[in-house]
Amino acid sequence: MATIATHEPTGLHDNLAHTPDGHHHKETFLTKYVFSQDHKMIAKQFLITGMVMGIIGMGLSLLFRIQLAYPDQTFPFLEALLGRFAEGGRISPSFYLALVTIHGTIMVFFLLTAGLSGTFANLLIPLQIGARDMASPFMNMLSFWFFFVACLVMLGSFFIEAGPASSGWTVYPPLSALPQAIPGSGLGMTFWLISIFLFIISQVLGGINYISTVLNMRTQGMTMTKMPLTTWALFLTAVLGLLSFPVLVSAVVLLIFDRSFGTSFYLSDIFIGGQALPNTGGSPILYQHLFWFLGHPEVYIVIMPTFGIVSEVLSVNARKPIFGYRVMIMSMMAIAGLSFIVWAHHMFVSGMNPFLGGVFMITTLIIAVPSAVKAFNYIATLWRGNINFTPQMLFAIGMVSFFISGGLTGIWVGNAALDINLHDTYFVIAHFHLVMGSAAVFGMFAGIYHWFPKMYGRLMSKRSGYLHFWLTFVAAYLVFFPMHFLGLDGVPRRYYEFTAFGMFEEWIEVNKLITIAAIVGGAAQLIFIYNFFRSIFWGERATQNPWKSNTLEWTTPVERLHGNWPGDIPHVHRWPYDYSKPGAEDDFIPQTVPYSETISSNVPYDFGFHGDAEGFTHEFYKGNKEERTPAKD
Amino acid sequence: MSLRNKLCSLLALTLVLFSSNLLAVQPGEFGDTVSEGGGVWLTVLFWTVIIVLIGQGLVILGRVLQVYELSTEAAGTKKRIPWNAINASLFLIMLVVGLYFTFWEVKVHGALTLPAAPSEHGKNWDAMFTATLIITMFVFVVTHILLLGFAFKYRKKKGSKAFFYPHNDRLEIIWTSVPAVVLTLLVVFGYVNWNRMTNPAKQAEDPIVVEVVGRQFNWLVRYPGSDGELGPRDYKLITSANTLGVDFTTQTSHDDLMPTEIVLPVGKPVKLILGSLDVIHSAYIPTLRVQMNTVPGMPTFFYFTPTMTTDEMRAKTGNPEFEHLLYCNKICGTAHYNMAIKVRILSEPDYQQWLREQQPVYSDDMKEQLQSAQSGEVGISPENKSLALNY
Repeated sequence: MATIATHEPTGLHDNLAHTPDGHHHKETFLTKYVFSQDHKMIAKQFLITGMVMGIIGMGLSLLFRIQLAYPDQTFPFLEALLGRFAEGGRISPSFYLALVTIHGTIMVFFLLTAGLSGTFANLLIPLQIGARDMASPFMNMLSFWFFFVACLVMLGSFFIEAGPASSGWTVYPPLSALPQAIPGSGLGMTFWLISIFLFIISQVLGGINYISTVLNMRTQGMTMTKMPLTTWALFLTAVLGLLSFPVLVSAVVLLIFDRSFGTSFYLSDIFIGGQALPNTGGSPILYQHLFWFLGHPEVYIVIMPTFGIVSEVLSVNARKPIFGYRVMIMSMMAIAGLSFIVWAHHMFVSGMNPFLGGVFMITTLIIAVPSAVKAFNYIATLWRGNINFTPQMLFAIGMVSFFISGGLTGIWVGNAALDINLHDTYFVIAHFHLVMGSAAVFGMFAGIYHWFPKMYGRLMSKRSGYLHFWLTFVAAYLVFFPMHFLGLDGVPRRYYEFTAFGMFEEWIEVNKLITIAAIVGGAAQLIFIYNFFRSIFWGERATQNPWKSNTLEWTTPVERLHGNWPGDIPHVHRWPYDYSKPGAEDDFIPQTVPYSETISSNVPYDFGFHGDAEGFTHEFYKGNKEERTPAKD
Repeated sequence: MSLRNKLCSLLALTLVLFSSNLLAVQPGEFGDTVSEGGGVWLTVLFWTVIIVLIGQGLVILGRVLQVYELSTEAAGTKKRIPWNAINASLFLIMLVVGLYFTFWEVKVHGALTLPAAPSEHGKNWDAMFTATLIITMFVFVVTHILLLGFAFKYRKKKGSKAFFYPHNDRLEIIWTSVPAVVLTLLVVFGYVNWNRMTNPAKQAEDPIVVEVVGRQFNWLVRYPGSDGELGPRDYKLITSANTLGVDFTTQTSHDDLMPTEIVLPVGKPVKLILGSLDVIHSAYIPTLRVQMNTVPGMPTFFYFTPTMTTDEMRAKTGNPEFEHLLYCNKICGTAHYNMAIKVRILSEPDYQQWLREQQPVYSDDMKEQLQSAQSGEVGISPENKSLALNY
């Protein structure tokens, strides 16, 4: 980490003036659009693949929401669409479980991990730190293609006779290990495992790239504490991923062994299908520990890029520095570190030693503190700002709202005692859909609207953006807020229908409301899709810096070049948040503007002086070295 | 013709062709059932048409607005659509409507949630719930007033400028330590309760023991009988007659009861010994605030003491059909949603009466079956012979 900080400006950087491979190369259609090694193209590949997967995942959710709202109704179109999975026009109970499983898997992994950090890390890291491309463009390209193949395998599992994996996105054994326990645990589960294995390879390849690039390829003057918060967030996300995904590999490998090679890592004392299985000595709880060791950092991998995106969008559109830049970095680091020691809060009622429940409850509630601090800092960024309501600003504010709502209910389920009655109920569904399904998705939308000009050189329609935001914001709250109450009444998750017992009858009407809101919300996404694809070709052409932002990516030409900058990579002189600085000519000062050009707005803090401003001149220019206040960076 | 016009004509043609289908009502055939509220509402085409029409309408609206904006810009007049003000006002409206909606939800849907817990630890649960609700609701309301209020108040207006305020460390310390203190209180509260609820050392000395074992797709219940001890069980001994695989060679098994429902006396501590025969299930009794996964290969436990009988709960809630139900709450297969069993809380005399009525599993029938199994095929029924093959 110290490599750049002590670097002398010799002009002999190896990232000046040439493309990563050092020469012009002939580009074919395949090398430019398919097997591209340009980080910007790879970002777009991730984005579009992620979006398509997200649409599919949302479609799956609408299917099972129809079942939940109208349990006694037959829908001929379901049978037309799903065939034997929906015989007679009603989704079968086992396919219902397949739907919720694949919905969860697609949304968490394919949309919110690859589609979010894959897109924005690839797009923004080199551009914001001043690099020509990633550390290894070839590995970057592989990262996308492993992801794409993983998508194909996952979607391919729908064409299997017995259906896709159906044991929940968490695929706990023994249910996921035994084909005789549920049809989807046969070949469908094998496909799931292969897909996730490929996916993890993709993430690891990407993560190594992002970390190396951020640590080694920053341009002159770009110290770690002059990086935009977006880069910090993406960097920490990559660290989280690199450290935690391999543990999921171990969980998956052991599960593959139990399924196919007769081992007993997770299996013991099982009598199923009229037979006593020979496996003894294993523990299903081992799987849960291994899974959630990834599973918890995974949800921070999902939300952290959006922290970075929202920090950027809020400050650009409020024309104010993000409040508490250093505290924001520290809170992200705290969240990243703490996220490794809270995993068993997903396992409070798993049967593990209750002592662990106490331990993990304590660590879980500690992690709530930096999250709260971030929310307060976002609100403080808006205070006395000069807010320009672009669509991305709307989504950023919406993200903060959802993050607060979802994060607060995290305090409930993070409390082991309360979790006794809330675990695996709709309360948990409400909680994670507010933080992941709403906050993270809104962060992603904010990022797409904000960096669309950087990706395609055009602007998305802002009016469609407004409509998209308001419809989605209202719909998301209408869908997920009532679910808290279902959970508080004890309605369990992953239930095909509620009408089996009289106790949940009163929630059928609420289910209808939720489903209708979900359908309207889903339809509202069509506005976005239309806007996105239409603007790629016919959108209003953008200027180089349409949002008047300070960060480096807006100093590249609109047309987008391989190698990003036509000449030398610019040098960076200041932090990225000089918005509405008193005395400045404009309400923003890009990072590339040296202090010598902004005499009217320079303040002592810019030169590392943290004391009383009036004493600055005296202190700074005093003769004795030891009395001079040391410059901080 | 432009592509657009071509597509519109195609759409119109499709509509004309299919609307005749929609309008042509077919007489029903023998054996047809009428679907409720059926007809056109269930067809994909209807909804596709609706969405396309709405989409078209929006596109037209968008064009109108675009033309308006471009023309006013070109003419240099000030009559622009004040999008900033509109969005800012919508945030303010959203704040008011949202807060109202929140309180409405808490009042209306909140009233549909669980009644006060008729169990000892359940009372602590309810107190913890109320405290957490109040704190989080307070934070929710205040932060949203600030967030959405600031969004409205600090919208860009003519001549407005932002205030360059990059940080305030003292403020950061305040709003780090206040949540830290509040959360510490919640943690301590939670930790003490969790300990009280789950630490075996803190449980009653002599609870009533009931074994509840989950399997696809029902629950098997076993009581220890008059000797107070549950006999050992082994999954390899499971047969269709001996569903739990109880080892009847041991004396303690001989008085074990296996009723088809869970019945408990009010006011006495209960220890549930939970198990599973095949996959992970979870014994969840929300009305009593009980939940614990049932894991194959490892017994798990939950301790609680009911404080009211089912009849008393029926009177209290005004619902004559009130029942405590034990649901499965961990995805376990196709019929996961259909695996509940009743839990009845009776007064002590009624419970004793019920116990007297239960017959031990080790009935004469069972003895005969076991003897014939031991003398004939060596203790293994045909179902147990083959090894399972995993793919």
